[in-house]
Amino acid sequence: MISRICWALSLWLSQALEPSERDAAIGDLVECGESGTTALQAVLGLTLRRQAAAWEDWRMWLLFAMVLLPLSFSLSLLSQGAAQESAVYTWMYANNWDWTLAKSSGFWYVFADAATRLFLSLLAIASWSWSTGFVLGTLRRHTLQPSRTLMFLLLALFQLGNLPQRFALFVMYRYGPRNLPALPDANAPVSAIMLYNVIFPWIVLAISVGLPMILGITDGERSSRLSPRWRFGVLLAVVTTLAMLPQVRGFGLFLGASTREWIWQHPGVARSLSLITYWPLLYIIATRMTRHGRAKVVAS
Amino acid sequence: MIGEFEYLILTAASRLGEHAYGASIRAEIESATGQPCSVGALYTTLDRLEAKGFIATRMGEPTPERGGRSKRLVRITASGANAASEFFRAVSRISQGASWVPNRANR
Repeated sequence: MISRICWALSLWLSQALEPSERDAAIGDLVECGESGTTALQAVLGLTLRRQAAAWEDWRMWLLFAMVLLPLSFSLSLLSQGAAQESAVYTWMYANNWDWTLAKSSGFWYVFADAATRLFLSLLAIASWSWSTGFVLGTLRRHTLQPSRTLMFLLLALFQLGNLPQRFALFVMYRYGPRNLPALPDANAPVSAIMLYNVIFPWIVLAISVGLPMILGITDGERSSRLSPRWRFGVLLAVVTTLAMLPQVRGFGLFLGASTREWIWQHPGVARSLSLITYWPLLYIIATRMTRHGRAKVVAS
Repeated sequence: MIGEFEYLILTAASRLGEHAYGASIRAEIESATGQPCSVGALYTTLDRLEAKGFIATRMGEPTPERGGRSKRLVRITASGANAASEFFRAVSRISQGASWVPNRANR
């Protein structure tokens, strides 16, 4: 049983290898009748060596410093913020539900407003995650594998250590306004519940960052089939979308005071920029519909 | 100069001839050294040797005993044979007079 599980894990892990190498290495292990644990050890060793070899290239370090670290940090920060906000609303509605509320039109107004805001903020995070994945997907295969692994590792690490939130608090403490009175935590009842404090952020991270990023990587890999002009256009749109990341509230601290002031004075511009951010959703729908249409034609 | 593991692979590939591929090279090295040979070390070294032009590899046909997977067949090149021969000569030269060399007492 354990051997079977280890074999299944080995086969899954071997997906990170080049197809020809996967064939050769797994074939060798099958031919020698190796046990599952030996196979797992062998595939893990080979995969790690391959991932480590990519770091001999200075471009991988550049990619790490310029793309992987800042984007994983930003997405983690955004996801944690959205998780906190959704946890508060979920707690408010799920843990304090009263049927009499349903009869109040004010309740539905606030509910619709909160749900729309949450949905749009999650959609924006998903769009940025998809865009990040798309950029990773366009990388060459030997760079894609280690960068993809590292991106997911960094996201998990940031989530485990709550690092972006800690960093944001540190920046606020160091550079924020001084002598503010310490206020009691208004969300203490929510953060005291393990479901909202521990499990919820992981769910939000998986839905708003993990899944869209996997989709983005797939679309980025498939983009090699597009014509060069189209591919350039999509990549340009993706990079523009990622450049819009600093406009969100959580990054106010990282912007200069004058830029912050300008954004506050022009909320319409910020809102319009958010609308542009959602374009990956249209791209996903359009590409899936086109592919579905083509599959139907081939089948008929 | 090549390393000792590279030498082992080149020698095993040369001995195996057209039957040289991952699993057979591994078995040959393990039986000669009595030490386990990891798949990771083998394949990364094969890549290095190929990049240096000491071996040429190609994918063979899928076979049922390998679960329908192909072999990575290895062929040693002329420069690979030269490199292995140079390594062997160097090891032989430096070994002369060493206490563990068997024919020392006969000289």
